[in-house]
Amino acid sequence: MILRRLRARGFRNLADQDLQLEAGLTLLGGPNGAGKSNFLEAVAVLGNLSSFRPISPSQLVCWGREKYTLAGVVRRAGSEVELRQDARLTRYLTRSLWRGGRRLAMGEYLQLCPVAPLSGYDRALVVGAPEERRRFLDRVVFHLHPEALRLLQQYRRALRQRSELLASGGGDGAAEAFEEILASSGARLIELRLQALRALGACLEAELAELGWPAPRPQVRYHALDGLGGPDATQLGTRIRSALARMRRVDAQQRRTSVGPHRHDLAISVGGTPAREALSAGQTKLLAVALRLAALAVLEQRLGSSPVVVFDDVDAELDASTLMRVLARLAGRAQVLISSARPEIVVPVVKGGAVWWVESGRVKTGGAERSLP
Amino acid sequence: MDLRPPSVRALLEELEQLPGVGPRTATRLVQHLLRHPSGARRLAAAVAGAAQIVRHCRECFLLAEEERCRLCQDPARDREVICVVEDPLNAWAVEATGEYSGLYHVLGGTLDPLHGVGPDELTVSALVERVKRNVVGEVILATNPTVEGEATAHYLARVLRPTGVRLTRIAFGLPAGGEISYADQVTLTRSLAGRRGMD
Repeated sequence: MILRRLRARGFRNLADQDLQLEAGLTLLGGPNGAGKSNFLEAVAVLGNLSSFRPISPSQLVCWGREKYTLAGVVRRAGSEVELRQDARLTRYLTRSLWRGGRRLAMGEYLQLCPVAPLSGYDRALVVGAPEERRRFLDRVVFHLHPEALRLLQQYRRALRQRSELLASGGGDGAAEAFEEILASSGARLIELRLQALRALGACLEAELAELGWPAPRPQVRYHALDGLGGPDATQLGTRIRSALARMRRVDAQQRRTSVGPHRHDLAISVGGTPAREALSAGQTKLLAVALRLAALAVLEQRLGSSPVVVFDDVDAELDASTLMRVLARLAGRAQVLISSARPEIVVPVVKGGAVWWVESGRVKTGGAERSLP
Repeated sequence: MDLRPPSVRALLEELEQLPGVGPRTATRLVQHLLRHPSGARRLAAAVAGAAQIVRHCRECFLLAEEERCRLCQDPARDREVICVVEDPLNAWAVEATGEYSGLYHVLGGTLDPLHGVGPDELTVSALVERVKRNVVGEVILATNPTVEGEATAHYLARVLRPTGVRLTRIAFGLPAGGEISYADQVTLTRSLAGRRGMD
């Protein structure tokens, strides 16, 4: 899969521009704040509708403007697909999604040009809040089973309705009605997550080996404090239903739903110790990279081709030999866009790629000589 | 300076209260109405007339001009089947198929705690009474396949089960004339779950 053209209007601090992108590896250099990350973000948001940075969607609009447009032409399986998103900022950001002249639902759009995002923020997969890992896993779930998106939306909606109902002192009958939906969609969601995790675990093992991670290697397992998950996933619907009923009084007081897949997590450990305690800063980053690469591999297996890869701030926290191994894992993929504030470190290990320069939000293509030390 | 006469301003304000009408649409509507005064008078009379006469049928809560709607008074309808819908529009749609000969029951919405709607805001107890009081063989739960519509169907099933009435849920699945390969997976999953035997 190759993103051939990108058009950005009113997106973050990027200058309005139309770019022709190239297959293979492209390194973006430029000083801090020049717009390298914003450019990679434009690619990620075009494909995934979300950034690799933890920012709210409304921040994607250029300061002082009220709309943005991202459009692209992606070549996949021999044909070219035009995709576009028009975003408008009122109280929220609302987006209309297009393939050519046809308006698409989010689930359809997200399948057009999936982007594998890697960045410094990936550390959060190892040391951050459970929400980061849930979102990561649910993205893998979506790539394997696109219908999971609606399942997730349904689950979240029912969750909000139940919490509101309990907070306002609603009766058991109405609570049970929403719990019925939480039980059926929640059980299916957990089932799909466990399935996705099996695929992810196998790929993670392979990536860690490729990256030269010595034993003991990190292990990832599904972590459900409420017991509704893990190895015993039988009769899940019934079990979620009775757990919800049991927790109704407590949940009413605490104004939240205390059991179910929205409270689950991935437990990452190394030799029995939680990864966040066992690993150094550099190892944490490398493990995060491995997790992203594993998700990329799962997606590749599913698509039968490689999605577009973006890697922001590629050299941060990685020593030269680790950086080489990481770049080697990316080499040979259809299209890889990486950025670095110190391209003089990265250029020598990038073979056969293009080097572009970013300045004041404008990408200058083909200026390799400018970035070489 | 606001050049709009007070009567025009009042009219604009009323129109802007309507769903889907913003200031620009309201202005266009006012322009049109004032250009066609006889049409405007007919519209005013129709609105006033409807507002005065239209009420909910006390049996089924469809819109009616009498205490009981024409359907509830019609001896030809099958009184043993009740189709439960969220609002009158849904009943009109089912009726337009020409395939349904039973009666309706309009809930007046769905369970929706986020918008302050619980069972007491709907016509649920009237439905339970109706089922208990009359000889009803089947209640068809025809709420929408949204989270709220599904929850409402679950709720109704729970409160109606003790009456012993047969409860059915309308089927969801492939649109007529559609193709399996184009159907989204949720729809396809539901149509598989809702499959039936061919005898």
